[in-house]
Amino acid sequence: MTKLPKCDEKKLGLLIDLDTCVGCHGCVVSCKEWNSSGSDKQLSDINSHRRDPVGTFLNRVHSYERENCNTNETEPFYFPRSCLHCEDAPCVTVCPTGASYKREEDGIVLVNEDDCMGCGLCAWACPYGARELDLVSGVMKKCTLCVDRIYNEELPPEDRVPVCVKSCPTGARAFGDFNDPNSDVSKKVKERGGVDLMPEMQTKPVNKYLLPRIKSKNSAVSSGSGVEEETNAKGLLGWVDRALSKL
Amino acid sequence: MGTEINSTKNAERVSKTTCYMCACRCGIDVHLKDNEVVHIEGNRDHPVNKGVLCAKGAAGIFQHKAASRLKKPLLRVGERGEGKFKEISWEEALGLAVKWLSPIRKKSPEKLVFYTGRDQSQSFTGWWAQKFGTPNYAAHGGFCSVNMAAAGIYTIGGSFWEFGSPDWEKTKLLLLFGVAEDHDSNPIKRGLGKLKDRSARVVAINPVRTGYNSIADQWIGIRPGTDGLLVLSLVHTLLKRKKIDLDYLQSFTNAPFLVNISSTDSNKGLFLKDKDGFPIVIDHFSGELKRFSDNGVKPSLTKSHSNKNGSFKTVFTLLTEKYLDDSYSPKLIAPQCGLKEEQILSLAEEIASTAFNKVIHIDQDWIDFRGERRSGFVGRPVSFHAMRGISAHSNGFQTCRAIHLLQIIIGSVDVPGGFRFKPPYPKPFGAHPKPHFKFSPDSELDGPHLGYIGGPEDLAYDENGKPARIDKGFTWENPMSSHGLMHTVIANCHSGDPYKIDTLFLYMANMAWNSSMNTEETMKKLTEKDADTGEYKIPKIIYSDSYYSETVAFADLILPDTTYLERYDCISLLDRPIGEPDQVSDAIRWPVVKPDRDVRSFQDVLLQLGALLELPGMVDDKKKPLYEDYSDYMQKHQRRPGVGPLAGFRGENNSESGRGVSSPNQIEKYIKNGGFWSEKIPENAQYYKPWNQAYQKWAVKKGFFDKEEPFVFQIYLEPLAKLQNHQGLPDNLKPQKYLHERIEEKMDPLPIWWPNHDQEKLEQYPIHAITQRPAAMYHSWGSQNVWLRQIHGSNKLFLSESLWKANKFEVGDWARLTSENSSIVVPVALMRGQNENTVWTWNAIGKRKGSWALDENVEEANEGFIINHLISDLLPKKGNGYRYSNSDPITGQAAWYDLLVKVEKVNNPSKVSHPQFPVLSSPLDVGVDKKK
Amino acid sequence: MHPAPSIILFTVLSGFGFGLISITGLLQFFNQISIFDLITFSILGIIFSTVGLVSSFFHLANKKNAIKSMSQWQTSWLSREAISSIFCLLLVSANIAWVFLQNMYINEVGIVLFFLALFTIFTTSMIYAQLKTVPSWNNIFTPAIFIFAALSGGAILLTSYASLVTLLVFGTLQILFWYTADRGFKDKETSVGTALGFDANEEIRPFDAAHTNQNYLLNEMVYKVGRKHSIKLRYISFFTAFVFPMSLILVFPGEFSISILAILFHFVGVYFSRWLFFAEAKHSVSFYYE
Repeated sequence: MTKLPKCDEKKLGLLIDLDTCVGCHGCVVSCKEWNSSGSDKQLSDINSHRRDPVGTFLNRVHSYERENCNTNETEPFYFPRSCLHCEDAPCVTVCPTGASYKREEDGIVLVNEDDCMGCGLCAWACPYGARELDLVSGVMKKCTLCVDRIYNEELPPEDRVPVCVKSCPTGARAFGDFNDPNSDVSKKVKERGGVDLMPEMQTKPVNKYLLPRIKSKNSAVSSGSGVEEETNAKGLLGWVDRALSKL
Repeated sequence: MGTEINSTKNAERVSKTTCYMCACRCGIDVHLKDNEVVHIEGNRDHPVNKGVLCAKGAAGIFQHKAASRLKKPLLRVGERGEGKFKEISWEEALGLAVKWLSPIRKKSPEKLVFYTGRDQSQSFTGWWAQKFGTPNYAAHGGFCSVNMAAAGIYTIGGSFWEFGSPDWEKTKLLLLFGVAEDHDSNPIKRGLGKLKDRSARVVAINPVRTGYNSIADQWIGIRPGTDGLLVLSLVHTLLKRKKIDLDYLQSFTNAPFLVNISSTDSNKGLFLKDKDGFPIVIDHFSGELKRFSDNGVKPSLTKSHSNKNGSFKTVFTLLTEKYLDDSYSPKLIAPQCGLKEEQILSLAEEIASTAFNKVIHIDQDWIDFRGERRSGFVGRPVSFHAMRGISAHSNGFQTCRAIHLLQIIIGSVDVPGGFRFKPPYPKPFGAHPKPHFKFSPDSELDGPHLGYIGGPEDLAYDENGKPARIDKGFTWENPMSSHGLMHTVIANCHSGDPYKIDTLFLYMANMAWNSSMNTEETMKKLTEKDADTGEYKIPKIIYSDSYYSETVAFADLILPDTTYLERYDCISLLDRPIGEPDQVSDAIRWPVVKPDRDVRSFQDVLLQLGALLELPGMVDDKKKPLYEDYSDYMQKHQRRPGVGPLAGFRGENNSESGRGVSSPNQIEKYIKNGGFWSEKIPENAQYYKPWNQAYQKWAVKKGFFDKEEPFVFQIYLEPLAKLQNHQGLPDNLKPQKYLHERIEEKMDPLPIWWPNHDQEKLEQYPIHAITQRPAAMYHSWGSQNVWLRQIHGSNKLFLSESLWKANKFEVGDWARLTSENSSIVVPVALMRGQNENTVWTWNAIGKRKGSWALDENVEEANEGFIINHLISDLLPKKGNGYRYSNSDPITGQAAWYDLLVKVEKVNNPSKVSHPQFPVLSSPLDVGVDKKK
Repeated sequence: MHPAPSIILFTVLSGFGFGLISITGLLQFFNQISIFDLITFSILGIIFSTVGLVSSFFHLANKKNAIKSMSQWQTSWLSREAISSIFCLLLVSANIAWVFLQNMYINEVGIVLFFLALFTIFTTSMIYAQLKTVPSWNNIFTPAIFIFAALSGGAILLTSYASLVTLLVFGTLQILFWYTADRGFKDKETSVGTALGFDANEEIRPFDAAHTNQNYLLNEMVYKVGRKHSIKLRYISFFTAFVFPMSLILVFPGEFSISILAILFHFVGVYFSRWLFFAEAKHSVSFYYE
C-alpha cells in the first residue's frame, strides 16, 4: 500500500558523520557488492568495458568544497547520499502500482520489484536522488537499509547492520532506531546536532547527518600561550645541564 | 510483500582469506555458492581491518572475474609492443624459459635481471633470485617508498607505514605529512575514526586537501618538497623554547654520543668508541668516560671531550648548534614553504603543550636495557604519520629523518600516545643484512640482495670498481638504496650500463605505463633494436601478470598468474608483515576457488623453474624438487632453524609460535583460524620496545632475532658521516670525483633540507605537479575494474584558484602541461583547497588503448591521462655533463613529486588527451556486461 | 528534466484526445453537435488519447506490471489517471455505440464525459504538479495549461469563436506558467546548502565527480537547456500554439480546412511548450551535481 503508515515503534535509519567521512567510496562499492550478490535481483552494469558505462548504485559519495566564511578557508568535505527512509516519503505515495511502500514495523522504505512497472515517478518525487531505475531489469532500485541483513538470523548478531555501516573504514556511518531516545544514533544526534537534508521539502527524513566540525587555520593553542623565554644555543646547553642534574 | 528482496545471499560456505587489492592485506570473508564467489566482505576478527573493507576490497569480485585476465601462456609473434601473441602450453613456456635461463646461470648469472612489482612474496622471490645467483633483484620499493623505509630503519629501527603506526587509542594530536590514501589504508581510516570519536586533534600537512586531509582539524597547504624545512623549523622552535624530553634523549638516543669534530682526522665525524667498538659517553655526574650501555651511567648531553685523536662534541651539542641557527627560524622558513610564520609557531606550541602538558602515564613497571627498573610507561601523546608526499622527493630521505628527529626530541616514539612499532619491528639497521652482490657462474649469490650499508665498505662495486648491480644500487650515486632502483632498470638494460644483460624478467609491474617515469621513452627502450644485429637491445623479456596490462605487450614470453582468490601466499614476518602495535600477526592466502583458465600461481612457477634449473635449495641431492608447490614451501621452508615463512601454529602439535619445527598441517590451522595468526605482546613489553628487556626477550623467543638487539635512536647517523667524509677512504673505496660535491653536501649525518630545484628552473617551470591515487583505486594490482571505473573513469588536472583565474580557464577547458621532459594535453578542473602553486591529478586512471580488455573508445584511453610522460628518469646534464637519475641522492628513491611544469590553456577540439599511442592488439576480447 | 519524446507525445496526444472528448461532450450536452460529428470526433478523441497512452506505455521500463498501475488510486495521481482514462474511454465508446445504434444521443452523458475527460487531463497534470521536487511544475499553472492546451485543440476543431476564448486563456496561462517556472527554486529555500544539510546560503561547489559518467539520475533529471535556446523555443511555441491559430480563425472564421491548419500549428506549438515544460524544469537532485 502506498498509504504511509504511522511508524510508532521503530524508525530505523542511518546517521552519517560528515566530520569523519574521508570519501573513500567504501560504502558505495560494498553496497553495490551486497546488493548484487547471490540473488537474481542484481544491480546491473551496462557498457562495463566500453564508453559510457552506467550501472545502478544505491549509494553515491560526492565531493564538495565549502567556503567557510568564518575562517575564510575552503573546506572540502565528502557527502554520501542514499535513501533517507523519510517519514513522509513522497516516493511512496506517488507510486501507481503499490510497489513502493514503507514498512509499518520499522519505517524502512522499499520497492517490491514484482509490482514495479518502471515508470520512474518515484525517482522524480524523491528530492534526494535516492532511487535509480535499473536499466536491465526495468525496476526501481533503492537502499533497503539491508533489510536482508539486519533481520538475517544466519548472520552473527554484530553483522546484522547495513553493509555500508559494517564496511565503513572510518566508522562515519551508524545504524539505529531514531525513535528510541536511548539509541546511540539518537544520542549522537542530540549531542552533535544531527540535521535533515532539505527539511523544506517536508519529507521528514529518518536518516540524519552530522556536519563537519569547526576547523581552524592555526593550531588550537595560540602561539603566545605558555611560552617560556626563548633561548640560544649556549643558554639551552646550560639549561640542559641543570635539568639533567635534577633528573 | 517484498520480504524476498535479495533475501539471503544463500552462500553455501564462507572461506576466509586475505585481500590483495592493495598493500593493506585485510582479512576477507569470501562467500561461495556452487564454487562461485558471490560476495566478499571484511573479516571481523582480522587484526588489520576488523571487518571493515574499502571500495577496492569490495570490488574484489570483479578483480577476480575480470575480463582482462590472461588465460594461457603466451609467446610473442609480432613485434615487441604490438600485443600479438600465440597461446602455448605450460610445458612449452617453461621449456623456453629454461632454455633461456639455464645457459645464463651457467655462464653469467648477472645477465638475468629479475624485478618484481606489487609482489607480496619478496622474501621468496628474493630467495629465488639469490639461488639463481644474479645480483640483479629487487621489488618496486625503489620507486615506491624506500625513503620512508630507509630513513625509518636507519633512524629508529622501523618506519611509518607497515612497521609502525600512531597509537590510535591514546594519541591526542596526530600530524599527517604527505599522506593520501596509501599503505595501511584501512588501519589509518579506522584510526582516524577513533580519533574523531575522542575529539583528538588531527593536523594535515599536504599541498592538497582531499581525503584524510579534508577531515583534519587543521590543514597546512605546504609547497611540495618543503616539509623538511617546516619540520626543522619546528625543531628550532622547540629547542628554543626548551620543549624537549631530556630523559628520553639521554637514555634512548645517541644524543650523548661523542662525535669527532677534528677536521683532519680520518675518524672525522665518527663516534668515540672503546676498543671493543662500544660508544663512549661522558657521565653527567662524574664527568668520566663510560660505555653508554654501562649500568648506572647518566650520559651528559653537553660536555665535550678531546684526546690525541681529536676533539669531540656530543650529538646533542651539534644538534643544538645546527638547528638553533636563525636560518631555521619560522620567520625565514615560512615563506619558503608557502606558509605564515604564525602557522609554524602555533603548531610548535601545540606539539609542545600536547607532549608535555598532556602526559600519559601507564602504571606498568619495566626494565630497560641497562637493567634499571623504570616505573611506568610515560607517554607523550603526539603521533606522526608520513607517506608518499614525503618520500617521493629527492630530499625525501633527509626530510623523513627530520620528522623522526622531531619525534625523538619530544620523546614520542614507541611510547603511549605516540608512534608505536608493530612487531617484528623495531629492528635496527645493524640487525638487517648488508647488501650482497658477489656472483659467480653456476652458483648462488653470496647472500640476500637488499640490506642496509654501514659505510662505504658495503657498497656494491665489483673488483674493477664497476657497479655490481644493473640498477647501480648501493653505489655512491645512491648508497643507501635499500630497495634497489627498479625505475632505472629498463634504461640501464637498454644501454648496457654498467653491463649488457640477456633476460629481463618482470613480475606484476606496469613498467610500460603508469609505473615508469618517462613512459614514452621507456616503451621505446623496450622495443629498440640494435642497428647492427637487428636484435632487440634488451634481448629477452619474460613477464608474469594476471591481467592484460599495458606491459604484457612488451614481453616475449608471458607466464599468466592466477587471481588472488586462486592462490597460496604468505604475508610473512620475514617480509612485509601485517600486525598491530600490540600484537604480532601473519597471514595466508589460499585458493578459495580453482582457476577456470590455464594459469598458474607465479610462486608455483618459480619453484617449477627452480627445479628445472636445478637451483640449490629447490632440488634435493637426486635433483628431485624439494617443494611440491608454494604451499609446501610455506610450510616446510626454514630460513633459520625453527623459523619459516609462517610464524603461527608451528611445532609438532601446532602449539608453538615464532620458533618451532615445521608442521604438515600448519596451513590447515591457518585456514581454520580465519586465514591469519596473531599473538598479543605481553603487557610489560608493549612500549619502549627498543630498550625494554621484556620485549627484547619476547622478540628473541618469537624468532624475530636470535639475540636481543637493544639499540639507540640514530639522531646522528654515523654511516652517513662515513660517506660524507670520504676523503680519508682508501683509493678502492673512493667515490668518483664528479660526485664529491654532492656527497659532501647531501650525506649530512644530521637531518638537513635542500631545495629540489634551482631558481632558474623554478622560474621557467613554476608549478609543482603531483598525483595521488584515489582511495577507491589506490595501489590496486590490476587497476581496471568494472565497478571502480564507474567512479573514476577519467581524470582531470586540478588547478588552484589563482592558476585557474590567471589562465582564464572555464569548465570543460584543456591545458597543456609542459615539463623539462615533455608535454601533455589534459582536461582541467578547479579545486580551491590546494596549494596555489600546485596542480594534481588522480594517478593511473589513464589507460592505453587496447589494454585491460577495454574497448578502445573508453574514457580511460581518451580523456584519461597519466603524467608519467612529464617525469624524466634522468635529470638534465649538469655542469660536469653527467645526467643523474631523478632520484634521492642517498637512497635512489624515484623523485616522482619533484616534477615542475608550466600550464597554459589550449584549444583541444578533439577532446582527447595527448600523447596518444597506437592501439595495442589484444589476445583478449573486450569484456562483456555480465552478472557477478 | 529530460524531455523524453515518449512522455511529451503522451501528454500532448492524450491531452488532445481527451480535450476532443471533453469538448464533444460539452456540445453533446448543449445539443450543439451533429451525430456524424459526435461519432467522428469521439473516435478521433479515442484514437489520440489511446496513441498517447500507448506512447506512455512505451516509457515504462517494466511493461508487464502496467496493469497494476490502477491499484493505488487512494494516493497516486498516476493511478488515478490510469483509472480515469480507462473509465473515460469506456464511457465514450459506449456513447458512440449508443449513438450509432440509436441514432440519437443522451445530453446528460455529454456532461459526464465533459467532466470525466477534464478530470483525466487534470490527473495527468497532477502527476507533475504534485512534485515539490520540481517547483516550476509544483503550482496551479501546471494543471491550468494542461487543461487549456487540451481544450483548445478540441475547441479549434469543433467551435469557431469559442476557440478564440480558450486559446486566449491558454496563451495567458502559458505566459503565467513561464513566469512562475522562471522563478523555479528562487522563491524556495532549497539550495545546494539545504541539500547537504547546511544553511540555504552556504557557498558550496562540487570539485570532483561522484561518478565520472552519466547515470540514471543525470540522464533523467538533470537536463541543461541554454537560456537563449529556450527563449527562442518559447517564441516559436507561443506563435505556433496561439498567435497563428487565432489569426487564422479570425481571418477565416468557420472554415473547417483552416481549422485543420490551425490545429496543426497549435499542435506543433503545444509540442514545443511541452518540450520546454520538461527541459526547463529543474529537479532538486541537480543541486547535488552542480
